[in-house]
Amino acid sequence: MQHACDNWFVAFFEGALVLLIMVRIVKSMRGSIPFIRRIPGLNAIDEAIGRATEMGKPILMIPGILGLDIVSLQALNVFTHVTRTAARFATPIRMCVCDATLYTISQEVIQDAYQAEGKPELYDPDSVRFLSDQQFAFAASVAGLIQREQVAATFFLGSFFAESLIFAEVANSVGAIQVAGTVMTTQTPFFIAACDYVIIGDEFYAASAYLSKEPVATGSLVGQDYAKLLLTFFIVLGSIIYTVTGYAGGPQVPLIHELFADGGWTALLHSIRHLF
Amino acid sequence: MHNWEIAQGNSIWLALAGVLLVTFIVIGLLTKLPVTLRRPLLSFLVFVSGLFYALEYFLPTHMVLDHGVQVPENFLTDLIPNIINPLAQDLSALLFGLGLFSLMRIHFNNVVRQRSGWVNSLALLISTLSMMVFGFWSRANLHHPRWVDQVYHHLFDGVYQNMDAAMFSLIAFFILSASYRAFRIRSFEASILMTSALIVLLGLSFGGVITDKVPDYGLWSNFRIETWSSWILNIISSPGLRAIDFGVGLGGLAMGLRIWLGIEKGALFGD
Amino acid sequence: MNNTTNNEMPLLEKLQKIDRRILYLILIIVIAIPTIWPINIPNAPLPMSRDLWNTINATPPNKIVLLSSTWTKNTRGENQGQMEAILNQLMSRHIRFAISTFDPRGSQVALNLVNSVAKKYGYVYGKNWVDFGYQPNGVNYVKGISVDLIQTVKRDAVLKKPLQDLPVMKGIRNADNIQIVVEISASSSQYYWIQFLKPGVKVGFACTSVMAPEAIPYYTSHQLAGILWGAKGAYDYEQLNVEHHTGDWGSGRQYMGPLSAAFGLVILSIFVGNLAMFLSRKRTRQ
Repeated sequence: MQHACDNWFVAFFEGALVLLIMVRIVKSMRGSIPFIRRIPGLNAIDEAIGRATEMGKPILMIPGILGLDIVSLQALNVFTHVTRTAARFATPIRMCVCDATLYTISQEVIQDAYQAEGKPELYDPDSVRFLSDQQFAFAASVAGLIQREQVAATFFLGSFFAESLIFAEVANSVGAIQVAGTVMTTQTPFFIAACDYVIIGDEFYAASAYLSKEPVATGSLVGQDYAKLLLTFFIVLGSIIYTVTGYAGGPQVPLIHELFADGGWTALLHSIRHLF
Repeated sequence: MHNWEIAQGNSIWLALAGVLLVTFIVIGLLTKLPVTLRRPLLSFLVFVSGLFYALEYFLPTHMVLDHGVQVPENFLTDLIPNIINPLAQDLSALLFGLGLFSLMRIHFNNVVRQRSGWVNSLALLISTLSMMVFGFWSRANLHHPRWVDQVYHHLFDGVYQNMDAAMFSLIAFFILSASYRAFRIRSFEASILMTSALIVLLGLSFGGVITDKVPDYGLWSNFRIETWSSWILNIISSPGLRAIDFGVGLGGLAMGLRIWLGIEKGALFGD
Repeated sequence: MNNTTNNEMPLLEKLQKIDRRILYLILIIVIAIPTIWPINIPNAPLPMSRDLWNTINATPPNKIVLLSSTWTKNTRGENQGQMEAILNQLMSRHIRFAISTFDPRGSQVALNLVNSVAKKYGYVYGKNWVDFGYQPNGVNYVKGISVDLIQTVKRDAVLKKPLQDLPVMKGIRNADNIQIVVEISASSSQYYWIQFLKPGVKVGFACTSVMAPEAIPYYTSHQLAGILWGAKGAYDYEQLNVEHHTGDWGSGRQYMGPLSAAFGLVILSIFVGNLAMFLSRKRTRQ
């Protein structure tokens, strides 16, 4: 395990970020609720469910292929909202899960969603399925399910790897409307190419705040933005220090340092001539 | 450092019996708990679990001899590999059994009731059971005939590994259909995207054919496609990816904080 | 509208919506042709490939190279060529090396490959190379070998002998005696090394094309000494080996032809789709 005493700067920096986030949460809880810009992917949820209801086909939700973690919990938050909307219109749902721990939690979450909407009788335990914990076995299983059931809307939210394009393309081939969101930067391009709406990067974590407009979540979102400002300050500071002093000791010679050394300008002109 | 040992001989049965007894008592008490106390209990357990890791991170450490190696530890560090990790693994194994049971139940019902596509369900049941039987028979320390190893080898290396690779290879086809369908230049930003994607793609494939005659030294190397491609990746794309990673990291930190402190509202945490 | 324009419109619409099955068939043909009749694509190695090659090439006799081979048969198209090229360089330069893995399936795959390449160079297990085996707890393993490799690994995975008894491990005690750790993988397992390995020990990453963009920030910040970018990376490495007589061509060059053809088809299909879209819009406005 890493410890704070391995690098105190990191520990204090983390503390500063936590403080920024907590201060904004407290401010929001006291009534100062900030504005969140429109996120198209989340606005499309109702449209997608409406389409599925018209067609009489189910909607498919996949909370990623990793186990129970922050990302999958956030995905379940969004899926609760999706399920409640689907319950309102009696649209059938399918939820495919790749991890057994997440499977049991997903069942509870979906059942609670139906109960919260006052439609417990619509809940079907078989609508939440554990398919496989192996990546491509899961992908094959989901692809087969999409084709057999001709799903009308799909929601891919969570951590995905190479199987993301398999899901998205197969769903596209059956004409499903697709909303995807992942924190994996390597998979975002595949979703952008294949899906109708994509939630990128930290928009994924903004989803619960956007959907619920809940003070703690929105305050936390603003706190994150302040934390990003703090990060940006340190990045700019670090860049200036490195450029001027070459502190990090990398192979590049700091330009300003060299220019102000003896014969610096002459050396620069010489190297330009040498290029040709 | 503590010396955690697995119970040996007859005491292992006693330990198992004790664990089962405690489990039933705990589950019984939890079911008797009033509904209004369940969420506060959940929040309390989450807070204590998170507090453990926070304390383990911040508490001072001292050097300890661990399996012949000096490592920095505090009094909580040793609990992670010896208590927490095995507990998590046991829970995962138990829940995996639950997931497997659910899967088998659904497909067994499909076969018995001859629902549409029941043949696929039959295939799943047969392949799952055969893999389980031959897997355990071959890999467990049981006396078995040689053909069992051969069957297992054929099923795993011959069938499963190659089907896995085949599924992975499907992505090549899907990339073609997705890029053909999706990459339409409908705006200025899309044209920038297409140009940079084209340069990077050429730089990683046959761009060498196009700029093969251009020298790869001095100022002339700046006119090679590989150089443009590297420049786009290192100077343009990489900072963007870093920025997204920063945002994602902060989002994860904020959500973790909310869950730990019990102020998160959502799926498992109440409205 | 004249007759010519009437005929062009459906064609333009068809070109924008080619059936995906036709595209797949074209792709199969386009990949099959250069596979059966190989073509050699001219190549200039990327700087990140050169850096990795140079770092491994600079290994002194008192150090070893550690190959963390976490790939499986899924990604053999890219990772196998990379590992083979690296092994060729190591063995032709008589550099001692060790292999280990974070994936239980990767262990046998790596062992088979090393054994097949070792036959060419007369490399002997235990004397020139060693297998540390599957390491289930990545964090503890990396932290452990930073301090004491012998105590962390204890025995090799093939002969089950104490490491200190093997001639290949003579003078090797911890990460200070490792020139570079090269993670060959299709996942994000390079983070184990970047985060937990003793600072100052170099780390390289040979990965699939999808994982490479994620790794580039670490290369530009010098946390990674070099990156092999998928099949191109394998080709780059083979080219550097051939230029410096430390190896021969392999699957990297072999796969570059079909890969380039597939990329060409992707570019062509995008071009055709966009051209049809522009012409269709132009006709509609007219």
